[in-house]
Formats: sequence, structure tokens, C-alpha cells
Amino acid sequence: MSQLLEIKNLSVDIMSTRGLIHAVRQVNLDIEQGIIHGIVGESGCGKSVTAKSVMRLHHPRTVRIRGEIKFNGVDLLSLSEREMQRIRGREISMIFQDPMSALNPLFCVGDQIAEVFMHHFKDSRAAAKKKALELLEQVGIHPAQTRYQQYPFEFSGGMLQRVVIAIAVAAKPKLIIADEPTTALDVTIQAQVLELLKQLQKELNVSIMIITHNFGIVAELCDHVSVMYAGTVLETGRKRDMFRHAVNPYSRALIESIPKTGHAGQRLTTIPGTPPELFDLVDGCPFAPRCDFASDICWREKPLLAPCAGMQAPQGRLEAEGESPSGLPEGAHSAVEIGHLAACHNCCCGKEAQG
Amino acid sequence: MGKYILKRTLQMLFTIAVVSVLIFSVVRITPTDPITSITRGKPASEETIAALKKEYNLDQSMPVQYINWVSDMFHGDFGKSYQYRESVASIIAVRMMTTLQLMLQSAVLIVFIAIPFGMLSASKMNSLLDQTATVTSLVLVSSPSFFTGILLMLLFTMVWPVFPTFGTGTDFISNIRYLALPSIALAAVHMALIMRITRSNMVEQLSANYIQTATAKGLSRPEVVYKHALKNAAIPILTVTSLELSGLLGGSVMVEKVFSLNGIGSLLADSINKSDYPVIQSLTLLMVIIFLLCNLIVDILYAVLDPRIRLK
Repeated sequence: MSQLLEIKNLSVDIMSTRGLIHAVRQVNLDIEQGIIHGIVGESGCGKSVTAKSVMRLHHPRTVRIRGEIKFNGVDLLSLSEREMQRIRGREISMIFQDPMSALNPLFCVGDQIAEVFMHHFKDSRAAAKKKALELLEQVGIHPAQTRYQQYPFEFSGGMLQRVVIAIAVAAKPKLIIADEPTTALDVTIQAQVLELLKQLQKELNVSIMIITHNFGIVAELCDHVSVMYAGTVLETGRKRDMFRHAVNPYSRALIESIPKTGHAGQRLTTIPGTPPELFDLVDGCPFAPRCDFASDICWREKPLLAPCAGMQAPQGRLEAEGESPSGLPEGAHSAVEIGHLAACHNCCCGKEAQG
Repeated sequence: MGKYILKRTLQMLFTIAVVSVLIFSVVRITPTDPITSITRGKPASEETIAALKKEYNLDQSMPVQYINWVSDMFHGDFGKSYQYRESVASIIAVRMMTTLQLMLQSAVLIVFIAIPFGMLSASKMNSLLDQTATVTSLVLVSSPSFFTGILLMLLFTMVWPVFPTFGTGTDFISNIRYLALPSIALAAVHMALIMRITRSNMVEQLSANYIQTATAKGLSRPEVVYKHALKNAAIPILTVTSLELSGLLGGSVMVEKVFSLNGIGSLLADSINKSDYPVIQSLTLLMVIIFLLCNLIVDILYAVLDPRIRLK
């Protein structure tokens, strides 16, 4: 499968009143054609900043972006603003976190969808309206005729997110970036919206980069997963591999933090502490201060993202959970074959890769 | 929508009624004696004073005087000026043109210079243009109109005599030049304020989430700024602009004095000095009505702009 989006050595620095924030640090990320790729991590880990960099939505005067973001082989960072406008909404589109504020309150929702057709395909007002009406039906907003004329304040959050999704898929883009699309919604509505995304992804064969802090959504939706922490990617691979044998302790901790049913009375698993502030560049692994398995090398050297398939069992923790204590779990493919990359000193392969 | 306009109009009429009572009573609290102004300061005999009081309805009780005033107004009679001994309507009509033109020129400056500069300033936030505009408006907003007026007069008499510094011309066209400096002096404070309001509202709207959605759709910057952000910023800008525009009439009192213009403003100032009750009452009521009309228009525009007001 071909890579639709290749992010290479992406670094994003944001000027703030409190100093320079190194929000994204040397991130490498590939998104394949036609799959759903989840980016997981706690808040403030650079997930949204990475996504906004792809769309080039950052303010150029206060944000510095270095590296490469290749979309279909073209480096988006080298395009002029005018060329970028032809990509936005047409080739890559975005779904935002809070549907209640994502739409202009003073325009009726239908016109906000039709705007995409009028802008990118130079459709007449009538033709654009016809397409927008069809699209409203497609995302499950009935009756489209009446709802078209209504304003955002007359919609519920879930319905608005459907409108935002309609805007995102309107021009049949190749990549949709969904930045925590369900965080602001009720749980029951969340499932509906995710289902809609999944269905549209199949129909349009579009790639979706979905940002979330919820591994549950990954389990539901994604084909591939990348785990981000403190502006770096710690692990990336297929969902199945990630759930069966995640390597990085942070990935494992996130997976263990998914609340499970049938465990009444038990405390929920959490990761103690909070992600670091991103003013200083650190030498070692960014997760080391919160990691149960951190050793000396974790504080000194930055782990590199390298092919890896399993973790060396540290101090009997995994035995206790009844997993294989040796490096490679049973039935695991070789590292290169499954394309599973991890950055961790505890990972046998990672160590070798660093020499 | 129709119900909304009707409600606002009724509210306005009620306000006018209340304010007319207020104006009537407050004018009569001033310490000067209207008879002195009628006799132009000359001493008068008891009989003359009694005759004058009768002629000008000053011998009746306050409520009767008020009712007379209001009912006369409904018949198109605004009373007779004490100092000029002419009908108030004709005095105001003569003076009105200068003031209207002064206000018009100031309004043009406010609407066509202050608002566009505020928007430009916001869309190029922190640029040299933005910072210059911010500092200039800060200076202007803190200089009262008589001060700006005197500075302008100095500048245009001593340094660069291209505009006349006092008096008026004979017709509308020649008045444009005569009223150039007064209208700048009158508009300066309001321009500065409106520029700042426009800027801050545009900045606020431009950082809103829906702007990101619009940008992510692939719209160009002008489309995002002038189609999406401006419509949202328009409501607060409209509010303040209408307040400021209706305040121009009050501001003209000072400016007309400084530039020796024969307008409504200087008429009001003279009338207050001379306790010319009918003129003060009519002019103040006129100002209030203009102010309320501006507000009514803005209220209607709100509903046109914002579906949340229109549909609820």
C-alpha cells in the first residue's frame, strides 16, 4: 500500500507569552491510503499541533514548522498559501473537536456545506444546494429540505458534528483529519458519529487521521495507531499488534487505562502524573519521569523509533499478568514485516538499532 | 420579526414620553429667570412682567404648562423662543442645515475610515500598521473635541492654511471645505473609539473556531475575514457606531462653539445661558428622538443579521 501522507522530522515551535514551546519534536509518521490511523496520547502531547501543521492552520508569525509533510509526494510546507488553499477542503479536510462552535452561527448550515462546492468546483448556487441536500441525507440529517435552512443554534451537538462531517467529506478528499471528533459529545452520540465516520470511510475510500485520547475509540475504529507523548511518537503500528503486544510502557499504560466492565469495586487504572510542559528540550526519554521501568539509559539517551515486535519483560511485571516473559510474544511476526515501530530502551530491538 | 419591530417601537414611544417629562422639569430647575431673557436684561415694570408671563404661558402651574407644551407640539407648534421672539421651529430650521452637514461629514469619516482601518488592523494584527493605528487611536480617544479643534485651528492657520478655520460657506458644496476641520474635531474621539472596538471584535472573531473551519474548507483569507468574521463582528460594531453617531449631535455643541458655527449646537449653548425654555426643550427632545431612532434601527439590523434574535 502506498503512503498518502509522509511526515518526516516534523518539529513545531510555538511562541507563547511564557516562552518557546517545542510542541512537536522530530515526528515521523506515515499514513497509508484508505485506512483509519489513530493518533493517541494525553492532552498537550502535540497531537492537534501535528494535525494543524498538515493543514497549515498555524499562524505563520508565531509558529515555526520545520521538516517535511509530503502529501501524495508533494511537500505541503513548501507550497504557497494560494496552492495550500486548493488542498484544504478539497484534498485534505478537517473535523474539529467542538461542533457547537465549529460552524458560523450566522449562516444556515446548508449554505455552509454548499460553500465547499461553490468554492472548489465553481458550482452555481442551485447546483451546490442540490449537492448539499444530498449530503445532508447521506450523513443522516432528515428532512434535509427543512434542516438545510436552519441555523447552528437549532441543532444538537451530535447533529452539528454530522454537518461538520458533511463539510469535511463534501469535496471527496483523500485525507480527513478528525481532531477528537467525539470528545464534546454524549457517549451514545459518540458511537453514532464514529459509526458514520466508519461508513463514510468505506464508501469514499478516504484515509482518516483521527486524534483521540481514548484507546476505546482506537479499538472501535482504527486500522493503525500511533502513540504520541510530549511531542514525540513513541510507538506506531497496526491496531491488532498494538493491543496484543504494545512495546512502549506508555502505550501499555494507555491501553490498561481503558475502563473495563465487570470489574466493579476495582480502582480504575491510571498513569500517575501529568505530561511535561514543553518549554525545554530533554536528552532522555520524555516518558522516563512517569515510567515504572525507567533505567539509567532512559534519562540519558533519547530512544529512537525503530522496528520492534515485543518488550523484554521488565522485573517480572509481565509474568504477573500471565504473558510471555521472553522478548517476542508467541505468534508475533518479525518486526519489519508488521511495520511495528517503537521508541523505547526497554525494547530489545530498539536497543540493537541504536547500536 | 414584525412583532419584534412593533415591540421595540412601542418601547421607544414610551421612553420618549418619560424623557419629555424629565426634560421639562430639569429645564425649570436652572437658576436663571426666563423673564430676564425675554426682556433681554432690561428692567421691566410689574405689569410688563405679568403681561409677558401671560403671553408665554409662564403664569400657569407646571403640569398645565407641560400639557400645553405637549399638545402644542402635536399641532406642530414648538413654542416661541424667549431670546429671539420667533417660533422655535423656524429658528431650528435655519440652523439645522449646518449641523446636519457637520454630522454627516463626521459620520462619513467614522464609517468609511474608522471601521475599515479597524478591520485592517485586526487582520494584520501586530503589524506596523496595527501598532500605529492603536497608538493613534489611543491618543485621539483621550483628547476632547475642543482640544483637537483648537490644535487643528492652530495647525491650519499657522502651518498649512488650506482649510478655513471658522464660519460657514453659502451652500452645501462650499460648506464641505468650511466644515472639514470641525467634522474632524467632532469625529476624532468617536473614530478612535470605533476603530478600537472594530479591531478588538474582529480579533475576537478571527480566533473563533468557525474561522478555523472556514479556513480548513479552503476559503481565501479575504473570504474568511470579510464574509465569515465580519458578519459576526458587525453586531457589536453596529451597537457602538449607532451610539457614537447619535452622540454626535451632543458633541456638536462644543465643536460649533470652537469653530464659531451657527448650528444647532451653538444655539443650544446660547439658549441654556439665556434660559430659553422652549428652545432647550425642543432641542433636547430632538436629540433624544434621534438617539432612540438610531437605537431602533440598530435593533432591527440585529434581527436582520442574527438568526438567534430573529427566530426567537
